[in-house]
Amino acid sequence: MAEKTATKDWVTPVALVGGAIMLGAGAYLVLKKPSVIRSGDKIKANFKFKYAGSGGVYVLQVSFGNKIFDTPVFDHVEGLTFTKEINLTEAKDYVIDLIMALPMGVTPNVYDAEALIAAPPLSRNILGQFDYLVKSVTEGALKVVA
Amino acid sequence: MGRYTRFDQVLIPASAVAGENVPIAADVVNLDSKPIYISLAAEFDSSDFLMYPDYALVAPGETSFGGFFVMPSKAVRVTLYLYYWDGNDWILDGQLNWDVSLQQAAPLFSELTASYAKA
Repeated sequence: MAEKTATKDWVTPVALVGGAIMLGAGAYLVLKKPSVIRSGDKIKANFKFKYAGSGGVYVLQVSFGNKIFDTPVFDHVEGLTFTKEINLTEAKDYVIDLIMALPMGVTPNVYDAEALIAAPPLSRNILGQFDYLVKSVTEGALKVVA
Repeated sequence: MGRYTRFDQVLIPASAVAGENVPIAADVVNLDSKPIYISLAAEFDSSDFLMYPDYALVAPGETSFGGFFVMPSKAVRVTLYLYYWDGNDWILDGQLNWDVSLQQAAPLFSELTASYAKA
């Protein structure tokens, strides 16, 4: 009489876990990688924020440049600041895109991005920084190639 | 409770944002059997602020006083002083203290994130 033996299949779970780790690592690398752009290309900045006011006109602004290490100062590259006026009607979470076209002749480099929301008209303080209501800086947001 | 007067319902916010008006509403009662003049004085951290009316001839029963002050950028103690007129002087007949804490204004915008991609 043949004896029945149970064998455990280790290959399937190991393959599944390994695959998940590889997918996660890949997704992490893709998300961390700056968007590669050429002069003249269009870029989409996706703003997400909470608004607690009762309505009003505000300005979304994106500047590319370089964050000065360990300071709130952002070195704006001339010609790489883009704005969009928005009209908010109520207090809620908003998701808004700002589409911009990179001008021709931008020096190939990796740029940080400064996203801010301000009340119009936009103005600069004595340090040359834009006045804002809220700001978010992303390091290595954009890689401009030749 | 005082000799001729007492506070009834007093409405003062427990907290306020710096710069906003803090309303005070106080109902006071004439305990006497005849009309008397009653006045309510108010201060926060030893600064006087006006209550309306300055004083009132109150029949036996209740009357209301109201006022406001502008919240400074710190917590304050509000003190209300209740007086009646004895024909010669205003006589202090009651006192009430109330602490108003400083409330942080909610930021207009928060939790801003931005992501960038080729359009």
